[in-house]
Amino acid sequence: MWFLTLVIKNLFRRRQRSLLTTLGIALAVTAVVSLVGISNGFEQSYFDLYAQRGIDLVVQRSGRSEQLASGLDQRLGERIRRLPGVREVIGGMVDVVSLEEADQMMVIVNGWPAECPLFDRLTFLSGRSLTSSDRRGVLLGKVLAGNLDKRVGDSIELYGRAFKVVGIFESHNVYDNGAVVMLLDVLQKETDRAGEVSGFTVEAEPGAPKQAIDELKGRIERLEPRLSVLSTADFVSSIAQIRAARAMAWLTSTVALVLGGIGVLNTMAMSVFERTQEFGVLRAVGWRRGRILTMILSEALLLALFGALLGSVAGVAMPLVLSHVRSAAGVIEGRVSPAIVVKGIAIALSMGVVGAIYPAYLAASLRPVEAMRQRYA
Amino acid sequence: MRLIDLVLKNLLRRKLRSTLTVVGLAIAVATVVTLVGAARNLRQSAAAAYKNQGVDLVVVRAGAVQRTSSSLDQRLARRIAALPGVGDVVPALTDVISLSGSGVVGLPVHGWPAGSPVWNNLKLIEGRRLTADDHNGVLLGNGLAKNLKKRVGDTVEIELRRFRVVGVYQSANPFESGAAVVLLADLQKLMDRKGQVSEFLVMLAADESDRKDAIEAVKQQVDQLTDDGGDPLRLTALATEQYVSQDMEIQLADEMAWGTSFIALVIGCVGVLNTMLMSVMERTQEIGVLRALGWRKSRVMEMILSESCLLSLAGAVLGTGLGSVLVAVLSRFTVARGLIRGNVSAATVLAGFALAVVVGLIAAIYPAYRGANLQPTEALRYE
Repeated sequence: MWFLTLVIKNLFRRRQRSLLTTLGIALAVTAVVSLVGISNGFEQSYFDLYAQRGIDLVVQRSGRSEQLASGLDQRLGERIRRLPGVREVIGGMVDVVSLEEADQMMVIVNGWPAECPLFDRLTFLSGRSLTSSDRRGVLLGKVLAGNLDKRVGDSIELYGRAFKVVGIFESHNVYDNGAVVMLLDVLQKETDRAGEVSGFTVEAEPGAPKQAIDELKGRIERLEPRLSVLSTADFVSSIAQIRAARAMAWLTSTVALVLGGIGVLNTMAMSVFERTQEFGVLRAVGWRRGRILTMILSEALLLALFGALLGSVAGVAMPLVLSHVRSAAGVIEGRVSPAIVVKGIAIALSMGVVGAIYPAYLAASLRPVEAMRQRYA
Repeated sequence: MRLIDLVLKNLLRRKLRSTLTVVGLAIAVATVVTLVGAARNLRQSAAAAYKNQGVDLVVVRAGAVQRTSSSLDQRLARRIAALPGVGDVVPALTDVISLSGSGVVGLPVHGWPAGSPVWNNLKLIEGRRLTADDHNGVLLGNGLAKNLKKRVGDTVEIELRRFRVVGVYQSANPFESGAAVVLLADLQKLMDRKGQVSEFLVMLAADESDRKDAIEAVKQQVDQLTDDGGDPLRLTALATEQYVSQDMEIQLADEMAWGTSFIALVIGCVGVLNTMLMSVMERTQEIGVLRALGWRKSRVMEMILSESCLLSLAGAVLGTGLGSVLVAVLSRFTVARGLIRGNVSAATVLAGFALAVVVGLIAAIYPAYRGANLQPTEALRYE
């Protein structure tokens, strides 16, 4: 009999127990893969949102921990534009509203200046882009339009006022697809923040090396005190909501893993106790301690591996399913990167090893004569 | 031997297994107690912070989900004050800042106009309240003052401007004790939001008895306010609890807490199921004997369910203890101190217990069913 055959037989002897232990591990891995996946997806989508538009730097009011609260004078944009090495500066405003009647709790409203290049990067599915005369017009992202069941020509109530849907667009980015776009000055008026923007996005001259961008960053910072100038990657990881999502993902994963580890420990300890006599016989016929140790660890690893596989599949499937659910579609991206799946599998395997160390040690340190005499009762 | 003695003996026979199952469930319960408790605290403290100031209603921009992003023209205060039933209206600007180099992030700063009634509800332990002449003066909550090691007369740098500490006030509420208050005009200037406020704090003139009706009445009137041209002003008045529940951060905290707890409880449930199922299978012969001796199916079921319940209760006790310790420890960290109070409410503990018992019962249904439906003759023969 092969060693591996023995290991598998041992696990199959208590089918239900093995199955439930595997299920426990699988749940833990599902939690890790899907939550870390979703939170990384958050970050990636945000990053793409800026990177796709060719944005190199984001200028905001310093010291703020909430992205939306930040406010800057719109006129600062002109001063940034005059700096050498700047290709384009766009001041935009971001607000979040809830459309409770449609069960949309957080809808992003973007205010973009008329005729700015941001509009050119949208793909219109129906209708057209906004022009400076569209005072009461908005554009809806594809997902949001679907959720609200709105078409071009319909009207939508925002800030207690009726707006007409002028166009429905698609973007590569999930955030854009779940957002509303209106003209900057209209949004400023609706939110009573005339002349104010949430921040500026700065595009450097194309092909500028990293060093040139760093220099530009310094020049902008010297324009005015209390400015925070961040590269796209730094900006994204500084957003409070993203930090919260990341914290939650790791918190949940830790709890899930500890619980999964305890499950493995419990199962393996019981399994070792049940087989005390068996270990006595194996030792008596010449098995070394190391071999017993290897057997128990292999059993646990195999359980963990099955759990990891099952959990990875579920963990990859969950965000995919969630991304099709109405209320989550605008926020969750369905893709989970392979790196996270690998991480989930690695964590499950270590969970198996950690849970099996003590039982394996117990089994290996049994004295053959005593073990054979012992009855597990 | 009474049933309960038998149940206890059955659990103690496999000490390690029972202990591990209890520990697993305890971790799940501790997660519930800590996270759900913290989220509940957050909501209650946030609402209490307004109530302590005597605020009945908060008027914000309709549809705003983040406190600091609501923006209103300060002059609208007069319109609200003119409504029947309204006592005082205080235009207030709240913003959240970080103090670089001090480890304090997400510091709420309130701007209140000098002479408004909200100042009176601050319990000063040092210094005095701000008056109209206290340009660039600041009041610190006792928690914040302690964190920053500042006293009256020291200076604090907020958004690169130096503020003189004029007084320190005392509050048990983390939302107040971890905050700073400056004059409205100063904060507006600092944040480039001249003439703007984030909310109007409304105190009603009505007596305690008919306050509820009065709140409703004022709410409706505020919703219907229009500007000079007859267009709606799009204001919304919310009772303090309602306002706080609508806040995006608080909703996020709630969802995070329940999401994590749910996953922990499901995994805990699988652990109990595993233990109980193994226990029933081990005791197949024993159960056969009991049945042959005349035990009814329901009694076998009762025994197994009781065992599981007992495990869960032990898990709940241990988990509540663990969770309370965790909350107490967390509330000592500077970063979390502003948000988490060091006590766990009875309601949270109760929720933890109830969930643990429910999990225990659900997990035991199948094992109990299996045990009860064993054929006595078959079970006796089982090896």
